[in-house]
Amino acid sequence: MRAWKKIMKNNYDAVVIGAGPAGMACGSELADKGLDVAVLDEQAGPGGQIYRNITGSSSAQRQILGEDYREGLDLTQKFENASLDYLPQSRVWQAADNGDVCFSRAGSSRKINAPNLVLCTGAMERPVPFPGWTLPGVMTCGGMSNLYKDSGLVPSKPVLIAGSGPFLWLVAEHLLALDAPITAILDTAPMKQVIPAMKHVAGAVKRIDFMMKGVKLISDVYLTARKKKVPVYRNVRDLRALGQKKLDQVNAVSGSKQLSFQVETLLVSEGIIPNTSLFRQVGCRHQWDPIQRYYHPALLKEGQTNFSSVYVAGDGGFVHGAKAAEYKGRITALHIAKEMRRLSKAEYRQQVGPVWKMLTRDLVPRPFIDAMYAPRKDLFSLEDKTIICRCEGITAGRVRELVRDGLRDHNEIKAIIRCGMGPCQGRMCSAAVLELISEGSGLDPAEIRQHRLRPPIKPVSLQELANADLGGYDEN
Amino acid sequence: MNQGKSKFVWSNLAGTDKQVTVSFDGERLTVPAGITVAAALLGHDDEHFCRSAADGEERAPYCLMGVCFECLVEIDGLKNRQACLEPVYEGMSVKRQHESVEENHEK
Repeated sequence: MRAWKKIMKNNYDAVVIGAGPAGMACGSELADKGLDVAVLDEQAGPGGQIYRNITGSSSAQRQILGEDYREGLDLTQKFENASLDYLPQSRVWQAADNGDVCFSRAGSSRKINAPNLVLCTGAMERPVPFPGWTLPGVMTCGGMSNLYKDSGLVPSKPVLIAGSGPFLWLVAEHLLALDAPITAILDTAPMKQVIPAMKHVAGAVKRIDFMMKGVKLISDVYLTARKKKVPVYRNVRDLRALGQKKLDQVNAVSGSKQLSFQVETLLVSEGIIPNTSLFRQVGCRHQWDPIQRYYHPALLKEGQTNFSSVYVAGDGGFVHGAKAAEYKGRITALHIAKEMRRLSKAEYRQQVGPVWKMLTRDLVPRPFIDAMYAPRKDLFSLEDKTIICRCEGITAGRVRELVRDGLRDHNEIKAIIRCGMGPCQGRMCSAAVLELISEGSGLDPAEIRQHRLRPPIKPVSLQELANADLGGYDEN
Repeated sequence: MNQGKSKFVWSNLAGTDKQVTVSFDGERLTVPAGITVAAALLGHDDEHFCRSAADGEERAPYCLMGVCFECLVEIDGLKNRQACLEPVYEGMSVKRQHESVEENHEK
């Protein structure tokens, strides 16, 4: 890994955006094949969200975070030893299919270019609006997990965990191990979703080891929760966060039971979706997944998008988890190395074969998991009063009015009521707006145009632009 | 270490002894080195970080991974910094952000 100070280059063979499992694997593999690579990442250290702070974590942290976290150590080490330009704390605010990448770092902006861009932007939690979700004290499970991974910060006052999906149980396990004062765990996954998932179970049992790990995780949380007298409620709905200036109460319904909790922190998680904001700015073609209900980039096998210069690898393409992301990153890298004539076709086949095998094995249980933890039917049955665009304070009711007036496109809705025009540029509201358009128009989301982000997709100060180095050709 | 009135505590989990001092709205905080500004502030005080540009509602970090933009603060005079992405450094001055963030999108 070369230090930033020495980096003055404008042109590379490949620029990788994101240093999570996919980006690290892709960058290391490309460098290994002799390509000139830059890896840009927003964070201060490599690892992405899943392996966040892995190089700085203590052994006590790694103990609690478990085997899946520790698996990131090898990958990170390989990345740190690779001969590539690693640019942490770089905020990419524009990329284009001509290979240009504009980003801000250390007070100035620059533009670099490569014939191959690999976008490894990873995943994010599905933003699901509910009453009170903008109150300070409400945060995602992923946010909490980042706090204890980064800095050892744990809740000391009553905390409630609500939502569904494997990630929720993982965070619950960590917080129990950290002795956080958990008031209750609210599982919002409807029991009946087991039925449609069952048709995938025959495939899934081929990876019985993986399935058992999931079963063990959930049953361990149940056991520990019982020991610590933390109640777990199932079939929970109608989540409501209450408080004047910050959260002090959460109400919900479980079966016929009204629940009410006095808590200062509410951690929510309703599944993981690809973080597609950069792909949408670039203009990559997307497709709709009707099971997991999200748009993901339409990719060929090796991660090619509709632009020959732009690839997507990892969970940004489709959420399959950290190991799969690593394999996808390597496959894309080997493909690029072959296209750049650093590998013969025979060498490529020989090297990519084992990685394909590992990826295929890893994906075996995914159809079951995706069906089992599909977003429940009423997830976006939003009340009119609920704020959906956090930045601009736009409610579901306002969007419904426009849909009733015949609007069918988030981009047009944005132009009229600013929904999605604030600093987050629709990252938090576009999933909900899409569902509201679908609900009001009867259109399938696959027929509805996606919200498109416009550059700069991250805040850029005028000073950063004034100090900009807009690239050019490197002298050899 | 400052405990303030936060609903979070520093566990000794991270096992780091190094500390840095930053100022938050003029108040001095001693926090573990290497953590993010968002973690430093949350560990000290669970009040809001910024106000919604639309209606002035108080807001605090939601995602802590760079997508929600609810942790915008002013760092050493520069506005609209995402506190969850910026590591702390000795002598850093952080301020709550109460003004509109409109200027973001003027290029």
